[in-house]
Amino acid sequence: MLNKWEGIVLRTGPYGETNKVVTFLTREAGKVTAMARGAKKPASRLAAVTQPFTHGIFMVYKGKGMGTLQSGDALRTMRHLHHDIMATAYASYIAELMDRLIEDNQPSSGQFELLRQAFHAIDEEYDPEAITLFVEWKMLPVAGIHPVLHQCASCGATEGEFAFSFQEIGFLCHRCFHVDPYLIRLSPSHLRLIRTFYNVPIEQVGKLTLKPATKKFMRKIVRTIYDEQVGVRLKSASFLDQLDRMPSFGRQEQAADGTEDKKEPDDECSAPENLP
Amino acid sequence: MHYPEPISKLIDSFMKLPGIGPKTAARLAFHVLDMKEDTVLEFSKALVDAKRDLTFCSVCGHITDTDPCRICKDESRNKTMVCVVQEPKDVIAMEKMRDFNGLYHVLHGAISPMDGIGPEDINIPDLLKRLQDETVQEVILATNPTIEGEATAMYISRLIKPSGIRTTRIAHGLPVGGDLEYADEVTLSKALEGRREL
Repeated sequence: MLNKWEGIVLRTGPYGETNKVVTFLTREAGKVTAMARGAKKPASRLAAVTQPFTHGIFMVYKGKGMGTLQSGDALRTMRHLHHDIMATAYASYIAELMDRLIEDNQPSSGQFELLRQAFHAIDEEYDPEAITLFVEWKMLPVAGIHPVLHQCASCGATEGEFAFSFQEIGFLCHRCFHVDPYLIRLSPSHLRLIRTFYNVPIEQVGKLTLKPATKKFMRKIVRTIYDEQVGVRLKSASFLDQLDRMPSFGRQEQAADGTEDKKEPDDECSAPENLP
Repeated sequence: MHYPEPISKLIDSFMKLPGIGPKTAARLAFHVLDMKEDTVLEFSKALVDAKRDLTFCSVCGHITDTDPCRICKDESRNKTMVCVVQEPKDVIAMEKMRDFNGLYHVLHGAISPMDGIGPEDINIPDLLKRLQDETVQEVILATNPTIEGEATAMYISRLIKPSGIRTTRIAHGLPVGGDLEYADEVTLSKALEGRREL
């Protein structure tokens, strides 16, 4: 049966001399894998549309086994994602995270929409590290983690000082700090930011101006959850770490675009201004 | 199917080659049985020699039987230009063209975030060492027009540019003899982007 799906290429792998196996996340059918015959030949019409991160309409013939990609039309080629190494690195991280967490053939337009918004935002030159944090927080439920962020995970209190507990996977109020000896104290702005990352759709968030220290803090929390609770270690994370160690590519330098530390943390996520 | 041991070993050996399945391997193995002994010995010697005698050039990283390789030793070549490619096969493709008279640098791979291959895993440090020599005035980045190739080119250009060496990227666009009508949008847009005045 020939299907017309809107999708984004998550990854490709070689198959034989001239073919590629392409994994897409589609709006209609979830994550699907299809064979793109001849896509490695230079003159193939499939060569360009099967590049990672391409958003397009794909015609896939699907029988019992792996489908075959018949044709594709790019809706957006994500040019910036291909021309900026930090954007490429973070987009690869997002694609790998989605690929690892999402099961095949389970339709979910929400996951597709998250990926589309994230890639479009990075392509529009929004801070890729901040966008990646959004995706990491929003993918936690897909990984089976439902952090308690609206109240204290232990007593249910909604007022007071809060900290993040990896044991309880959520916030703990000051009255319950004794429950977890390894908790991480949160400022009110961190609290709001975590809730924003988890709950607010990417396209409803305005221009992000997160301080490097804030991003590092958020990254530490979410990566610890993935490491300890989900057990997912991504290859692209080690690539980001390699870039980090290089003086001219580190995350600190990349993020220090005039937002360096004078502002109150409240200014870090500005009012909605609608991302693409 | 039970083959005598020497044949099944030969079939297994052929199956280690890319694109060779059990049937093709069996066909090749039986073909070897029909070959003359001298030819078979020559064939096996060629395999062993290729493995034993070939090494990587200590200057450019290309495969060679002498170190430095013939290209690096050739005094008639333009030493002010270095063309950076992903694989030794790419050097051979460039040499077939006969239009380029500069030197090469083989990276033996490309940066691939998805596969966790970073700058430390390919032959970039040696390139940087080569560029400390002031004779090099231009670096041509001829990595593949894929996401990995682009990432590698971007990375190298960002490292080299502060040193003042001219860094260029090979053009992308329509294949010679191709038809505009059948070109995809991405290729066409790249071709338009790289247009030049006549």
